[in-house]
Amino acid sequence: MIHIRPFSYRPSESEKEQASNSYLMSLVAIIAGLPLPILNLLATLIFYLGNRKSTPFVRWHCMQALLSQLSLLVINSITFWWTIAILTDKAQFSNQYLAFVLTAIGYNIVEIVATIYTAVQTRNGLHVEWFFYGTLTNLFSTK
Amino acid sequence: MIVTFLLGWWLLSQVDWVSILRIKPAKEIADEKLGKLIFSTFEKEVVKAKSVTLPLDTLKRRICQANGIDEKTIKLYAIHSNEINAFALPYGYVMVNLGLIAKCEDEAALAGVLAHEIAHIQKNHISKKLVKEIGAAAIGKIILNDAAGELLSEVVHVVTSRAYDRGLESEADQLATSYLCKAGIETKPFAELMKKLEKDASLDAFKWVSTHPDNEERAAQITRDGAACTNANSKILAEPTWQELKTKSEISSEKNL
Repeated sequence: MIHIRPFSYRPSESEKEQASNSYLMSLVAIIAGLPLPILNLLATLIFYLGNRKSTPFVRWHCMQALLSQLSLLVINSITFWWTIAILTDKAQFSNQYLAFVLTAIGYNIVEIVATIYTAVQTRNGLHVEWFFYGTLTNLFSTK
Repeated sequence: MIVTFLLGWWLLSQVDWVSILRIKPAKEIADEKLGKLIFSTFEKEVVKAKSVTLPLDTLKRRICQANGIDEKTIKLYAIHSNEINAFALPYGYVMVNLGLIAKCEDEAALAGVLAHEIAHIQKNHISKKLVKEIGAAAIGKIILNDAAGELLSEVVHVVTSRAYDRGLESEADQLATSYLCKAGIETKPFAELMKKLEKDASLDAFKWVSTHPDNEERAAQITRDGAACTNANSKILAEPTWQELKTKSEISSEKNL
Protein backbone atom coordinates (compact mmCIF):
# COMPACT_ATOMS: atom_id res chain seq x y z
CA MET A 1 0.00 0.00 0.00
CA ILE A 2 2.69 2.51 1.02
CA HIS A 3 6.29 2.27 -0.22
CA ILE A 4 9.35 4.15 0.87
CA ARG A 5 11.54 4.73 -2.13
CA PRO A 6 14.66 6.74 -2.76
CA PHE A 7 14.11 10.21 -4.19
CA SER A 8 16.38 11.71 -6.82
CA TYR A 9 18.11 13.85 -4.21
CA ARG A 10 18.28 14.41 -0.48
CA PRO A 11 15.79 17.16 0.51
CA SER A 12 16.69 20.02 2.84
CA GLU A 13 15.02 20.65 6.20
CA SER A 14 12.67 23.30 4.84
CA GLU A 15 11.69 21.04 1.96
CA LYS A 16 10.91 18.22 4.36
CA GLU A 17 8.73 20.56 6.39
CA GLN A 18 6.87 21.95 3.36
CA ALA A 19 6.26 18.49 1.91
CA SER A 20 4.99 17.23 5.25
CA ASN A 21 2.63 20.20 5.58
CA SER A 22 0.95 19.31 2.28
CA TYR A 23 -0.44 16.18 3.94
CA LEU A 24 -1.43 18.06 7.05
CA MET A 25 -3.53 20.44 4.91
CA SER A 26 -5.92 17.61 4.13
CA LEU A 27 -6.50 17.11 7.84
CA VAL A 28 -7.28 20.80 8.38
CA ALA A 29 -10.99 20.52 7.63
CA ILE A 30 -11.41 17.49 9.88
CA ILE A 31 -9.59 19.26 12.71
CA ALA A 32 -11.84 22.28 12.19
CA GLY A 33 -14.82 19.94 12.52
CA LEU A 34 -16.35 20.85 9.19
CA PRO A 35 -18.52 18.25 7.46
CA LEU A 36 -18.29 19.46 3.87
CA PRO A 37 -16.14 17.07 1.84
CA ILE A 38 -14.80 19.71 -0.54
CA LEU A 39 -12.94 21.65 2.14
CA ASN A 40 -10.20 19.00 2.43
CA LEU A 41 -9.62 19.20 -1.30
CA LEU A 42 -9.66 22.99 -1.35
CA ALA A 43 -7.10 23.23 1.44
CA THR A 44 -4.80 20.77 -0.34
CA LEU A 45 -5.35 22.51 -3.70
CA ILE A 46 -4.52 25.93 -2.31
CA PHE A 47 -1.36 24.53 -0.73
CA TYR A 48 -0.39 22.87 -4.02
CA LEU A 49 -0.97 26.08 -6.00
CA GLY A 50 1.15 27.95 -3.51
CA ASN A 51 4.01 25.47 -3.97
CA ARG A 52 3.79 24.85 -7.70
CA LYS A 53 7.12 26.52 -8.29
CA SER A 54 8.82 24.97 -5.33
CA THR A 55 11.44 22.21 -5.36
CA PRO A 56 10.71 18.79 -6.93
CA PHE A 57 10.39 17.03 -3.57
CA VAL A 58 7.82 19.53 -2.29
CA ARG A 59 5.94 19.61 -5.61
CA TRP A 60 5.79 15.82 -5.78
CA HIS A 61 4.30 15.43 -2.33
CA CYS A 62 1.86 18.31 -2.81
CA MET A 63 0.65 16.55 -5.95
CA GLN A 64 0.31 13.18 -4.21
CA ALA A 65 -1.61 14.79 -1.34
CA LEU A 66 -3.91 16.53 -3.83
CA LEU A 67 -4.61 13.44 -5.94
CA SER A 68 -5.37 11.31 -2.90
CA GLN A 69 -8.07 13.83 -1.94
CA LEU A 70 -9.92 13.48 -5.25
CA SER A 71 -11.33 10.01 -4.69
CA LEU A 72 -12.12 10.97 -1.12
CA LEU A 73 -14.03 13.98 -2.45
CA VAL A 74 -16.18 11.76 -4.65
CA ILE A 75 -16.89 9.23 -1.89
CA ASN A 76 -17.57 11.81 0.81
CA SER A 77 -19.74 13.92 -1.49
CA ILE A 78 -21.90 10.92 -2.34
CA THR A 79 -22.19 10.10 1.37
CA PHE A 80 -23.09 13.69 2.23
CA TRP A 81 -25.77 14.17 -0.44
CA TRP A 82 -27.24 10.70 0.06
CA THR A 83 -27.62 11.52 3.77
CA ILE A 84 -29.29 14.84 2.94
CA ALA A 85 -31.67 13.02 0.58
CA ILE A 86 -32.67 10.62 3.37
CA LEU A 87 -33.12 13.43 5.88
CA THR A 88 -35.34 15.34 3.44
CA ASP A 89 -37.34 12.20 2.64
CA LYS A 90 -36.19 12.03 -0.97
CA ALA A 91 -34.55 8.65 -0.36
CA GLN A 92 -35.06 5.74 1.99
CA PHE A 93 -32.67 4.54 4.65
CA SER A 94 -31.44 1.22 3.27
CA ASN A 95 -28.82 -1.49 3.72
CA GLN A 96 -26.97 -0.09 0.68
CA TYR A 97 -26.81 3.36 2.26
CA LEU A 98 -25.50 2.08 5.58
CA ALA A 99 -22.99 -0.16 3.79
CA PHE A 100 -21.79 2.86 1.78
CA VAL A 101 -21.45 4.98 4.90
CA LEU A 102 -19.50 2.24 6.71
CA THR A 103 -17.21 1.72 3.72
CA ALA A 104 -16.71 5.48 3.40
CA ILE A 105 -15.86 5.75 7.10
CA GLY A 106 -13.38 2.90 6.73
CA TYR A 107 -11.87 4.56 3.67
CA ASN A 108 -11.55 7.87 5.50
CA ILE A 109 -9.91 6.23 8.51
CA VAL A 110 -7.37 4.48 6.27
CA GLU A 111 -6.76 7.79 4.49
CA ILE A 112 -6.23 9.68 7.76
CA VAL A 113 -3.85 7.06 9.13
CA ALA A 114 -1.93 6.95 5.86
CA THR A 115 -1.81 10.75 5.72
CA ILE A 116 -0.44 11.10 9.26
CA TYR A 117 2.09 8.33 8.64
CA THR A 118 3.22 9.92 5.40
CA ALA A 119 3.42 13.38 6.99
CA VAL A 120 5.71 12.00 9.70
CA GLN A 121 7.90 10.04 7.28
CA THR A 122 8.16 12.95 4.87
CA ARG A 123 9.16 15.26 7.71
CA ASN A 124 12.01 12.81 8.31
CA GLY A 125 13.09 13.17 4.69
CA LEU A 126 11.78 9.83 3.46
CA HIS A 127 10.06 9.67 0.10
CA VAL A 128 6.73 7.87 0.57
CA GLU A 129 4.80 6.65 -2.44
CA TRP A 130 1.24 5.48 -2.04
CA PHE A 131 -0.26 2.62 -4.00
CA PHE A 132 -1.96 4.01 -7.13
CA TYR A 133 -1.61 7.71 -6.16
CA GLY A 134 2.18 7.46 -6.19
CA THR A 135 2.10 6.05 -9.72
CA LEU A 136 -0.34 8.77 -10.78
CA THR A 137 1.84 11.47 -9.26
CA ASN A 138 4.87 10.11 -11.10
CA LEU A 139 2.91 10.46 -14.33
CA PHE A 140 1.97 14.07 -13.71
CA SER A 141 5.08 15.46 -12.12
CA THR A 142 8.74 15.87 -13.03
CA LYS A 143 11.24 14.99 -10.33
CA MET B 1 -8.66 1.67 -4.93
CA ILE B 2 -12.05 2.07 -6.55
CA VAL B 3 -12.35 -1.67 -6.94
CA THR B 4 -11.46 -2.16 -3.27
CA PHE B 5 -14.04 0.41 -2.26
CA LEU B 6 -16.76 -1.11 -4.45
CA LEU B 7 -15.94 -4.59 -3.24
CA GLY B 8 -16.11 -3.44 0.38
CA TRP B 9 -19.42 -1.70 -0.29
CA TRP B 10 -20.88 -4.76 -1.99
CA LEU B 11 -19.80 -7.07 0.83
CA LEU B 12 -21.26 -4.83 3.53
CA SER B 13 -24.51 -4.45 1.52
CA GLN B 14 -25.12 -8.17 1.92
CA VAL B 15 -25.76 -7.62 5.64
CA ASP B 16 -29.33 -6.73 6.61
CA TRP B 17 -28.39 -3.71 8.74
CA VAL B 18 -31.94 -2.37 8.87
CA SER B 19 -33.17 -5.52 10.64
CA ILE B 20 -30.11 -5.95 12.84
CA LEU B 21 -30.19 -2.36 14.04
CA ARG B 22 -34.03 -2.34 14.01
CA ILE B 23 -34.06 0.91 12.13
CA LYS B 24 -37.40 2.42 11.28
CA PRO B 25 -37.73 5.28 8.84
CA ALA B 26 -38.28 8.58 10.65
CA LYS B 27 -41.65 8.90 8.93
CA GLU B 28 -42.76 5.54 10.31
CA ILE B 29 -41.74 6.57 13.83
CA ALA B 30 -43.64 9.86 13.43
CA ASP B 31 -46.74 8.08 12.09
CA GLU B 32 -46.66 5.62 14.97
CA LYS B 33 -46.40 8.32 17.59
CA LEU B 34 -49.09 10.50 16.02
CA GLY B 35 -51.43 7.59 15.42
CA LYS B 36 -51.15 6.40 19.03
CA LEU B 37 -51.65 9.94 20.33
CA ILE B 38 -54.83 10.46 18.33
CA PHE B 39 -56.10 6.96 19.15
CA SER B 40 -55.65 7.66 22.87
CA THR B 41 -58.37 10.32 22.58
CA PHE B 42 -60.84 7.63 21.42
CA GLU B 43 -59.72 4.80 23.67
CA LYS B 44 -62.51 5.23 26.21
CA GLU B 45 -65.14 4.89 23.49
CA VAL B 46 -63.75 1.72 21.92
CA VAL B 47 -66.23 -1.15 21.75
CA LYS B 48 -64.95 -4.28 23.43
CA ALA B 49 -67.92 -6.60 22.84
CA LYS B 50 -66.83 -9.66 20.87
CA SER B 51 -70.12 -9.69 18.99
CA VAL B 52 -68.85 -6.47 17.33
CA THR B 53 -65.08 -6.91 17.24
CA LEU B 54 -64.96 -10.45 15.87
CA PRO B 55 -67.13 -9.87 12.77
CA LEU B 56 -65.24 -6.66 12.03
CA ASP B 57 -61.95 -8.53 12.27
CA THR B 58 -63.31 -11.23 9.96
CA LEU B 59 -64.20 -8.64 7.33
CA LYS B 60 -60.83 -6.95 7.73
CA ARG B 61 -59.02 -10.27 7.44
CA ARG B 62 -60.84 -11.14 4.23
CA ILE B 63 -59.96 -7.81 2.62
CA CYS B 64 -56.34 -7.88 3.79
CA GLN B 65 -55.61 -11.51 2.91
CA ALA B 66 -57.09 -11.18 -0.57
CA ASN B 67 -54.97 -8.09 -1.25
CA GLY B 68 -51.66 -9.05 0.30
CA ILE B 69 -51.97 -6.50 3.11
CA ASP B 70 -50.41 -7.43 6.44
CA GLU B 71 -53.42 -7.62 8.78
CA LYS B 72 -51.35 -6.54 11.75
CA THR B 73 -50.74 -3.15 10.13
CA ILE B 74 -54.49 -2.39 10.13
CA LYS B 75 -55.84 -1.79 13.62
CA LEU B 76 -59.64 -1.80 13.37
CA TYR B 77 -61.84 -0.52 16.20
CA ALA B 78 -65.53 0.19 16.60
CA ILE B 79 -66.49 3.33 18.52
CA HIS B 80 -69.54 3.97 20.69
CA SER B 81 -70.99 6.78 18.63
CA ASN B 82 -74.26 7.30 16.78
CA GLU B 83 -72.53 9.44 14.17
CA ILE B 84 -72.55 7.85 10.75
CA ASN B 85 -68.80 8.01 10.33
CA ALA B 86 -65.64 6.00 9.80
CA PHE B 87 -62.13 7.38 9.55
CA ALA B 88 -58.52 6.39 9.33
CA LEU B 89 -55.69 7.57 11.56
CA PRO B 90 -51.92 7.48 11.04
CA TYR B 91 -50.21 4.18 11.84
CA GLY B 92 -52.98 2.06 10.38
CA TYR B 93 -55.86 2.74 12.76
CA VAL B 94 -59.36 2.43 11.27
CA MET B 95 -62.21 3.66 13.42
CA VAL B 96 -65.82 2.79 12.60
CA ASN B 97 -68.72 4.28 14.50
CA LEU B 98 -71.55 1.96 15.55
CA GLY B 99 -73.89 4.48 13.97
CA LEU B 100 -72.43 3.69 10.56
CA ILE B 101 -72.52 -0.07 11.10
CA ALA B 102 -76.19 0.24 12.02
CA LYS B 103 -76.87 2.01 8.72
CA CYS B 104 -75.32 -0.73 6.57
CA GLU B 105 -77.87 -2.99 4.93
CA ASP B 106 -75.43 -5.85 4.59
CA GLU B 107 -71.86 -6.90 5.28
CA ALA B 108 -70.70 -5.94 1.78
CA ALA B 109 -71.62 -2.31 2.40
CA LEU B 110 -69.65 -2.31 5.66
CA ALA B 111 -66.78 -4.11 3.92
CA GLY B 112 -66.81 -1.31 1.35
CA VAL B 113 -66.40 1.32 4.05
CA LEU B 114 -63.55 -0.65 5.63
CA ALA B 115 -61.89 -1.15 2.24
CA HIS B 116 -62.15 2.57 1.58
CA GLU B 117 -60.46 3.50 4.85
CA ILE B 118 -57.80 0.78 4.37
CA ALA B 119 -57.12 2.27 0.94
CA HIS B 120 -56.51 5.69 2.52
CA ILE B 121 -53.97 4.05 4.85
CA GLN B 122 -52.22 2.09 2.09
CA LYS B 123 -51.88 5.22 -0.01
CA ASN B 124 -50.68 7.30 2.95
CA HIS B 125 -53.47 9.86 2.48
CA ILE B 126 -53.82 10.64 6.18
CA SER B 127 -50.32 12.07 6.53
CA LYS B 128 -50.75 14.04 3.31
CA LYS B 129 -54.04 15.48 4.59
CA LEU B 130 -52.62 16.37 7.99
CA VAL B 131 -49.55 18.07 6.52
CA LYS B 132 -51.78 20.00 4.11
CA GLU B 133 -54.38 21.08 6.69
CA ILE B 134 -52.23 21.57 9.75
CA GLY B 135 -48.66 21.82 8.51
CA ALA B 136 -45.57 19.73 8.99
CA ALA B 137 -44.20 22.00 11.73
CA ALA B 138 -47.35 21.68 13.83
CA ILE B 139 -47.38 17.90 13.36
CA GLY B 140 -43.74 17.81 14.43
CA LYS B 141 -44.59 19.84 17.52
CA ILE B 142 -47.33 17.38 18.51
CA ILE B 143 -45.02 14.41 18.00
CA LEU B 144 -42.15 15.94 19.92
CA ASN B 145 -44.13 17.49 22.76
CA ASP B 146 -46.89 14.90 23.20
CA ALA B 147 -49.09 18.00 22.96
CA ALA B 148 -52.51 17.26 24.38
CA GLY B 149 -53.78 20.78 23.85
CA GLU B 150 -55.36 22.68 21.03
CA LEU B 151 -53.10 21.30 18.33
CA LEU B 152 -54.06 17.70 19.06
CA SER B 153 -57.76 18.65 19.13
CA GLU B 154 -57.32 20.25 15.72
CA VAL B 155 -55.65 17.09 14.40
CA VAL B 156 -58.51 14.95 15.75
CA HIS B 157 -61.01 17.30 14.09
CA VAL B 158 -59.18 17.06 10.76
CA VAL B 159 -59.01 13.27 10.69
CA THR B 160 -62.62 12.78 11.79
CA SER B 161 -64.38 15.63 10.06
CA ARG B 162 -62.58 17.10 7.10
CA ALA B 163 -62.76 15.57 3.67
CA TYR B 164 -59.74 14.50 1.69
CA ASP B 165 -59.38 16.30 -1.61
CA ARG B 166 -61.28 14.88 -4.54
CA GLY B 167 -58.23 13.25 -6.06
CA LEU B 168 -57.42 11.30 -2.90
CA GLU B 169 -61.05 10.24 -2.41
CA SER B 170 -61.24 9.03 -5.98
CA GLU B 171 -58.00 7.10 -5.54
CA ALA B 172 -59.29 5.51 -2.33
CA ASP B 173 -62.58 4.59 -4.02
CA GLN B 174 -60.83 2.92 -6.95
CA LEU B 175 -58.51 1.01 -4.68
CA ALA B 176 -61.36 0.02 -2.36
CA THR B 177 -63.33 -1.32 -5.33
CA SER B 178 -60.30 -3.32 -6.37
CA TYR B 179 -59.88 -4.66 -2.81
CA LEU B 180 -63.53 -5.73 -2.66
CA CYS B 181 -63.28 -7.36 -6.04
CA LYS B 182 -60.21 -9.40 -5.13
CA ALA B 183 -61.85 -10.38 -1.85
CA GLY B 184 -64.89 -11.65 -3.74
CA ILE B 185 -67.17 -9.04 -2.12
CA GLU B 186 -69.90 -7.29 -4.06
CA THR B 187 -69.21 -3.63 -4.73
CA LYS B 188 -72.80 -2.59 -5.42
CA PRO B 189 -73.90 -2.50 -1.76
CA PHE B 190 -71.10 -0.01 -1.02
CA ALA B 191 -72.28 2.23 -3.86
CA GLU B 192 -75.87 1.85 -2.65
CA LEU B 193 -74.86 2.81 0.88
CA MET B 194 -73.35 6.05 -0.36
CA LYS B 195 -76.41 6.92 -2.39
CA LYS B 196 -78.67 6.06 0.54
CA LEU B 197 -76.73 8.18 3.01
CA GLU B 198 -76.69 11.09 0.54
CA LYS B 199 -80.48 10.93 0.27
CA ASP B 200 -81.13 10.65 3.99
CA ALA B 201 -78.47 13.10 5.09
CA SER B 202 -79.05 15.50 7.91
CA LEU B 203 -76.10 17.60 9.06
CA ASP B 204 -75.34 16.25 12.50
CA ALA B 205 -75.74 12.49 12.31
CA PHE B 206 -74.42 11.81 8.83
CA LYS B 207 -70.87 12.96 9.19
CA TRP B 208 -69.45 10.36 6.81
CA VAL B 209 -71.58 11.89 4.10
CA SER B 210 -70.60 15.45 4.82
CA THR B 211 -66.93 14.49 4.94
CA HIS B 212 -67.24 12.54 1.70
CA PRO B 213 -68.91 14.89 -0.74
CA ASP B 214 -70.19 14.13 -4.23
CA ASN B 215 -71.41 10.74 -3.11
CA GLU B 216 -73.76 10.30 -6.07
CA GLU B 217 -70.88 10.74 -8.47
CA ARG B 218 -68.64 8.50 -6.41
CA ALA B 219 -71.34 5.83 -6.14
CA ALA B 220 -71.67 5.91 -9.92
CA GLN B 221 -67.91 5.55 -10.33
CA ILE B 222 -67.77 2.63 -7.89
CA THR B 223 -70.61 0.95 -9.79
CA ARG B 224 -68.72 1.43 -13.06
CA ASP B 225 -65.40 0.18 -11.62
CA GLY B 226 -67.10 -2.74 -9.92
CA ALA B 227 -69.01 -3.82 -13.05
CA ALA B 228 -66.03 -5.83 -14.27
CA CYS B 229 -65.98 -7.69 -11.00
CA THR B 230 -67.82 -10.96 -11.46
CA ASN B 231 -66.34 -13.15 -8.77
CA ALA B 232 -68.40 -11.98 -5.80
CA ASN B 233 -69.14 -15.18 -3.96
CA SER B 234 -70.81 -16.26 -0.79
CA LYS B 235 -71.21 -14.22 2.34
CA ILE B 236 -68.29 -13.75 4.70
CA LEU B 237 -70.25 -13.64 7.94
CA ALA B 238 -72.92 -16.08 8.97
CA GLU B 239 -76.34 -14.42 8.92
CA PRO B 240 -76.86 -14.64 12.72
CA THR B 241 -73.43 -13.05 13.26
CA TRP B 242 -74.25 -10.18 10.92
CA GLN B 243 -77.67 -9.66 12.51
CA GLU B 244 -76.18 -9.63 15.99
CA LEU B 245 -73.59 -7.07 14.89
CA LYS B 246 -76.25 -4.86 13.36
CA THR B 247 -78.59 -5.15 16.33
CA LYS B 248 -75.81 -4.41 18.79
CA SER B 249 -74.78 -1.38 16.73
CA GLU B 250 -78.36 -0.09 16.53
CA ILE B 251 -78.94 -0.47 20.28
CA SER B 252 -75.63 1.11 21.22
CA SER B 253 -76.01 4.01 18.81
CA GLU B 254 -79.53 4.68 20.05
CA LYS B 255 -78.28 4.74 23.64
CA ASN B 256 -75.74 7.29 22.54
CA LEU B 257 -78.40 9.72 21.27
